[in-house]
Amino acid sequence: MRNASFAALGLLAVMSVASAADDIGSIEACMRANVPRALQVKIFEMVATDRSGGTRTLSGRLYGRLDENRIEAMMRIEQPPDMRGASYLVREAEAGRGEDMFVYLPALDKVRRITGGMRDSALFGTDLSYADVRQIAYAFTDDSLRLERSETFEGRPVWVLSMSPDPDNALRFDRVLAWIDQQSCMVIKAEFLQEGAVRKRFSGSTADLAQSGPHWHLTRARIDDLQQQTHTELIITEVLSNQELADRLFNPRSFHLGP
Amino acid sequence: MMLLSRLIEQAARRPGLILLAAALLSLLALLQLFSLPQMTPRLKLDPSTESLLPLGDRDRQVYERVRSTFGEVETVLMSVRLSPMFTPQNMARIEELTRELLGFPGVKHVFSLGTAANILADGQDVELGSFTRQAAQDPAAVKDFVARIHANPLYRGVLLSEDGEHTALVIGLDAHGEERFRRDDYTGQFRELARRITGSDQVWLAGSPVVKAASTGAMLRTLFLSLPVTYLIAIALVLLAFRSVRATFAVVLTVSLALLWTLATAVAMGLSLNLVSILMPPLVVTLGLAYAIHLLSDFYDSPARSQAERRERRLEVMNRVGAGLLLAGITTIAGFLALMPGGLLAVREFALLSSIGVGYLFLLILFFLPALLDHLHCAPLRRQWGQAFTDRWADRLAAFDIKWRRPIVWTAMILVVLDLWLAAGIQVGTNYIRAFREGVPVREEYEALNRTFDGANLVSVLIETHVNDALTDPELVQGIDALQQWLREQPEVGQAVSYVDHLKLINQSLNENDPAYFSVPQDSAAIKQLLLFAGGEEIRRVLDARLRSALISVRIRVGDSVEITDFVERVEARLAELKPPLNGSITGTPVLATRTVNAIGRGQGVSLAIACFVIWAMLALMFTSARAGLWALLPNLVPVSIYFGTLSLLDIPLSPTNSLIAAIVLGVAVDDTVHYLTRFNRDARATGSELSAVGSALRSTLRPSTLTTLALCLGLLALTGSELRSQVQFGLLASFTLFLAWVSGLTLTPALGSRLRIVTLWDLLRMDLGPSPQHTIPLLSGLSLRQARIFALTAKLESHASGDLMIRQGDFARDMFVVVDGTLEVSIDRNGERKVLATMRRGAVLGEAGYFGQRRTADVSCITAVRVLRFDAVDLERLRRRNPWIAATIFRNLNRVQAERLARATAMLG
Repeated sequence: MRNASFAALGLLAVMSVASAADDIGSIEACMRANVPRALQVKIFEMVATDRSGGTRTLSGRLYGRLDENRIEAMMRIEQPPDMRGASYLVREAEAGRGEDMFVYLPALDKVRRITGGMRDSALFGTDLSYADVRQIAYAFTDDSLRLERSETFEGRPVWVLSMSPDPDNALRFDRVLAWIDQQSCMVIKAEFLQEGAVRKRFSGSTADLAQSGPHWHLTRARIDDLQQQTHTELIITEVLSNQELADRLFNPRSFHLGP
Repeated sequence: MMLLSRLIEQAARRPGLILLAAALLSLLALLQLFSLPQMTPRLKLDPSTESLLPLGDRDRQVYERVRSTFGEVETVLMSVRLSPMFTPQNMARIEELTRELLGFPGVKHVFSLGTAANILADGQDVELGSFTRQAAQDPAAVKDFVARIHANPLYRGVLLSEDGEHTALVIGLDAHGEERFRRDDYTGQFRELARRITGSDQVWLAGSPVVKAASTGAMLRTLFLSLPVTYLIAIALVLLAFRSVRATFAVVLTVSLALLWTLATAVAMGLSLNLVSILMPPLVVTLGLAYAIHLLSDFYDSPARSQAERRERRLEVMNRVGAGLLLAGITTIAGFLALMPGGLLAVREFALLSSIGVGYLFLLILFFLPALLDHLHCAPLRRQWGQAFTDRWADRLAAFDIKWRRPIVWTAMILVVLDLWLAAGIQVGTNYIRAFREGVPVREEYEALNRTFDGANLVSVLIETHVNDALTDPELVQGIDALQQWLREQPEVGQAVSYVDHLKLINQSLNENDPAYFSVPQDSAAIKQLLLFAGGEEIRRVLDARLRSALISVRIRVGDSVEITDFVERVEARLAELKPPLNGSITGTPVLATRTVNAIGRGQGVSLAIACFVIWAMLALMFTSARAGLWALLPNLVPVSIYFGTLSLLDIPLSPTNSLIAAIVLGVAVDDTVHYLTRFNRDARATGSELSAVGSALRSTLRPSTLTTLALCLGLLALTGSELRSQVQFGLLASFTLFLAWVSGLTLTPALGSRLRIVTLWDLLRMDLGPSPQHTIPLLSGLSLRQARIFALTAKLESHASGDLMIRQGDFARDMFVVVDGTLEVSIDRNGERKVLATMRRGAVLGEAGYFGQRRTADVSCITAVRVLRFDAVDLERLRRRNPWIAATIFRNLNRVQAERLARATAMLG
């Protein structure tokens, strides 16, 4: 659940440097090239809205980097005040070994390593789970990735990719459709299907695409859980890419101390 | 009434037009009912139980709030027996089963060993994988699972049975899933899936969706069977009773048209057939049959050969049946409409559609059926089947009723009082599970699950604060914890689980699994952080995003509404003690269903009172007397009160199903009373003797009333084939009550009627006394037109042909006459010579000597056709008792007439 934070925000912040030709290999390469060496989301905000219209807002900072091609991410909550300082650290383990996740809760003043059972959990009571995001991430390395069609989205050309994961991966959704903006190679929209029905939807707008240096990111997106009838707005105010980030931010012993 | 009279006259004259109009209306109804060109039916069947829930009240609002806040609509419990349970293979099977179940549309979540986290704390590490995941990663870990589950208050008795051989899967459905559950037979699909994946031969399913689906299926099967059975009964009875295929066809067509029009009206009104209103079609057919039998009996009484004779017969039959049919229809509708105030939506729609159906039946049977019978050239029988038998019994019954009048009336009175006293002890309640017969899977599986998992009925306690983050306040959390503890101590409760359990467990897990930390943190921020950071989907289902409302899921062992009511009352008293800002409400389908049952029970008295009042008012209006209305109502109150007394004696609780019986029977049974009294009134007037009218009225009504009772009882007994005991009970009790109504109608009604000289509104309006009788007939001076007619109906209106000798000089008599129209001549015989004394016209009073006990002093013969009112002292005495003001005016007028006559005689002598 916690490491989902990085992944969820990563969806917004994954960047693109070049457009690609209409074949799956080129599209995949274009999307892989989007992952920056280092990433800092200065302020992110998540506004989760429940079925009855009630909202909960969390805001904080996100730091991420690629270390030997393994993702490391740290999230630190700034608001609300009673959650301030709560932090997560996610470190991708060696291939096939999943991730290490560490949690720091200021009220307990303890760091705990969490394993197992988190993939389907909601992120801070929001509508995206780590498993959902990982499924998208897998989409770009999965053999089942297919280019379904090209179409336009908000007047811009997009590729529609589909992925049907191996059932042995025990992923919740049996199909994912992703709309990739051809100019930025950004995921603008994604649908998570189960038994042919769309259960979750990630949606952004090309109008919210912004650049940080040479990279693109979405400043705003929405995740709808169509089954729970809830949704979460994600807002990113500033993204800095390829800046050097201190190692202590990704160290399980010191990450909770913050920058 | 006058309008009806005119309509009858017009309809009798133009049978072709009636048939054509009915055909056109039926065509329109067909077009309304089916959409062209595929002819797909527009009328929908709505088997959902939504309409069975109370509308707009506080309970419903709480239920809706839970749905809107937490999204969950219903929960299904599945139990799978695996022995031994904890093997890596079985864990993999449970995971697969969980995954497959999650794939069903409408399934929102599955809580099972495949999704529940087995929290393992080891120093700094906290493992949150599910049991099945952990088993897959480390097969040796399964040996600790039993101990882990028993140590976890969230899972103990929830995921694993006490004997460790059964595991439960709690399947949450959303609104979409609830609808699909029944439509797509999820019960069967889930069971088959579990058997296939796990290889278990013991898969049990329980929960409200399972019970609702089974109940709905059983009801639909029964009702789909009952409609053709009712038709078969109708055909068999009419064929047997009237031995005419054409008449049978006519009746079936008439009744079918009424049903067609009713269904088309339902479509036009945007109504679907719900679980209660689906009772309407067989009911309309049965009632139509009952009405038609009365009309056929009269129709076959009067032979007609020529066109003119047929027209006369139509007019006569329609006139004879019209008033009774109208009153029968109105009282039946009153019975149905009495179910509406405060009733559930399903019951209201049933009452509305049934009332509309009865209205159409009235129109079609009164206007269409006679026209169709004539059109089909249905020839009257020489003797109708069973007529000789019923004639014999009618005479015996009449003699019995007259001889034992007082004991019959007293017995009836005592029975009413005794049964109403017994009825005070009737319990209101139902048991939705025990409504199924023993051996039916839904009942067996529920009971097995209830035993094995210490409760299979799920209710929720909704905790609300209306303050964001309030549920992280340690003091309030402790309050909820104490409430939960109290709930667990209740004898009905098997399990009570809330976010507080999750919170304690997470706290312990993040504190090196130290049991001392299985507690509520004393800091609000700590609670919030634990809930938001470590809380997963399971917490989201019981705690809202703003941390201000939560659910305590309570599993109870009881399914009887009486026991649930007792539990709910205790819980509500405890909830009232919660410290502000905590507010608590108990909800869930069992709670709502129980409230519904109780509301029906409470509303039963009101429904019956309304039905009785409306029916009495109708009868009083029809018989122009409050007392006559009461006497006509009493024979129908007897069976209804015996019905309630029987419920009490047999310890049968008043349930939603059997609560319909009293109002329906009251509305239906009063039809026979109306038919009898109308006939009795006519015969009494014709013969001038109430006692002989008892016999003749019984002779003409015994056969049709027996046939209609037979039809109704047989139709209702078709329900005894149901899988649902409640429907079997409904069929048996309703037919029993109708049988009682029949017995009452044959004994009490004639016994009461034998001393009752009634004047029907019909008679009153049709009584023709010429223009302004109160101004042109001195005896009626000072009365209103209505009062004049009441007097005329208390007396006897006689017609005499020109030349008739109406009064013979020297005869002994006790009655007198008032001339309504025509001319009479008064003469005496003097030594063989006839001497005319006077010529009498409209308004003249004759024969007063006879009235005062003297012999007739003169002959009175009719010069023209004459109509006179004849009355005697008995009539005037009856008038004095029933209408003293009219009697006083008549006596005054009579006095005045006599005084004038005396004055004239004195003047002549002078």
